[in-house]
Amino acid sequence: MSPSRARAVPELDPAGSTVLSQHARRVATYGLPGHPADIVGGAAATSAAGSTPLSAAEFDALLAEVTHHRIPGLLMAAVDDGGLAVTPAQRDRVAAAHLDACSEVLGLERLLLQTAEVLDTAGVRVVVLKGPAHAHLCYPDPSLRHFGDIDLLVPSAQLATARAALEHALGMTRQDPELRRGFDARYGKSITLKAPAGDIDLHRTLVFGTFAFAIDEAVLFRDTSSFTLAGRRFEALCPEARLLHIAYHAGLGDRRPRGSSLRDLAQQWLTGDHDPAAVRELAVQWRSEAVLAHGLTRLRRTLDARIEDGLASWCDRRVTRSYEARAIASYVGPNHGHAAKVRASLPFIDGPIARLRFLASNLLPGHGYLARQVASRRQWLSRGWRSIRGRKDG
Amino acid sequence: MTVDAARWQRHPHALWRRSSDRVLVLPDGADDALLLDGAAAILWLLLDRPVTFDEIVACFAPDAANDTHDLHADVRELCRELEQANVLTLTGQP
Repeated sequence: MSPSRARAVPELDPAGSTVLSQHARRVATYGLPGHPADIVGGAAATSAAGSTPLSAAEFDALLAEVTHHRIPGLLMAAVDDGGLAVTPAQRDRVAAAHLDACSEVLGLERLLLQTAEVLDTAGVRVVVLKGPAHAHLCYPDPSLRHFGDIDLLVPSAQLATARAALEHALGMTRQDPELRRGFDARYGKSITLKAPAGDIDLHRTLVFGTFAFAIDEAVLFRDTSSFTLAGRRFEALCPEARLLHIAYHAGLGDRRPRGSSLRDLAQQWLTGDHDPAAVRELAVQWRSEAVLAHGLTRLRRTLDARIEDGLASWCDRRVTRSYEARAIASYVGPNHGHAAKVRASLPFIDGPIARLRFLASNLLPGHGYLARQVASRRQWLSRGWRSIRGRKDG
Repeated sequence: MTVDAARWQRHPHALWRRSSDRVLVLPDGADDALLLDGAAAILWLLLDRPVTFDEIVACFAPDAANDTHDLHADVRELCRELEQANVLTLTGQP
């Protein structure tokens, strides 16, 4: 690891606090302990009884935001509880939006059942990540959590077997070609498989490059949690690993994270069954303390979430090192991108030979990948260099 | 299975979500989800554990106190309809 100066993370997403409107923030934190029980009123209000419904324009804007941020279940709960006064027509539209979301997740859960059966037959072990796992393990009612695809973690040694089994049995097709032969199992984060019923992301690990180098694959499959779906038992990450994965997704997943991702972090942080001391220990092992702290910062800034506990204090006290800040910026900073992630990964890799191998794998893609990217190897290198230097691709 | 031992339960392979006072159920093998509302939604939520027919009737009885004969018939028809749709099933287990 390179010696690095310690410094605070720069303003990676200064506009984060304006991603959601005030009303949508209230929806995204609805039902959390210590947060307002109404959507429109002041912080001290506890009920919307007697309050006036939003205007048509305000309601339209809120419903569009809620749909985009995949939190219609929380809006439905707020309406049911009287936390948001609505007209009968507005109530019908909230119910329709929630039913649409429920219909989508039921279709995806059926896809999960079909996929699990295929992988089981192929002898591939599966740990369910994100959507269905969070819905059934983090929330008091899975109807509160909407999701748009299925994410499955499989052992890296079984990644190719899993892909081949799903392509053969369910007619799934790979979205993007492998960057280079052997890249997926060694360095990739996930493979996206397309199917008419929805997308399946087959994960080898939880994040690409950087912080992934310290994640012990064995830990991901150890002490797993479980949930039951249609009579079948599914494995999910243990609560501590789940909280860190949620923080990866909320902190690194998008420059403009969805409200559902941030709510996941708040939900697990405030109501989860994790051991805070074990979370700290795992974060140190995975060298991801800065990611946890960044996720918390985003959560507070974007949703006005109130999280003040021992784990949060530990995050607040920690000073992010410069190589960690560069790594986070490679995901959500202005010059984010694959090349930036590759460059930011180098301090996380032990030994010059391992670094060279990682660089070569990323800088010298296979012909199939280049053909898909409509680029020559020279154009690929040039594009990566420009993105690291901060200039936009042509 | 004796009549007394028989209990109604949610079909173990059905997928479902609650939405306000309604329940969306995707039965095993069905292409489309069924939207349960009213008595059907109440019945689904009641069946978070296997329940006898008499217990189901007792649950609905306060709303139909004047005509228990019709209530028995209505509940029986509702259960059978949901059974045919793969939403509910009968079990001998308590």
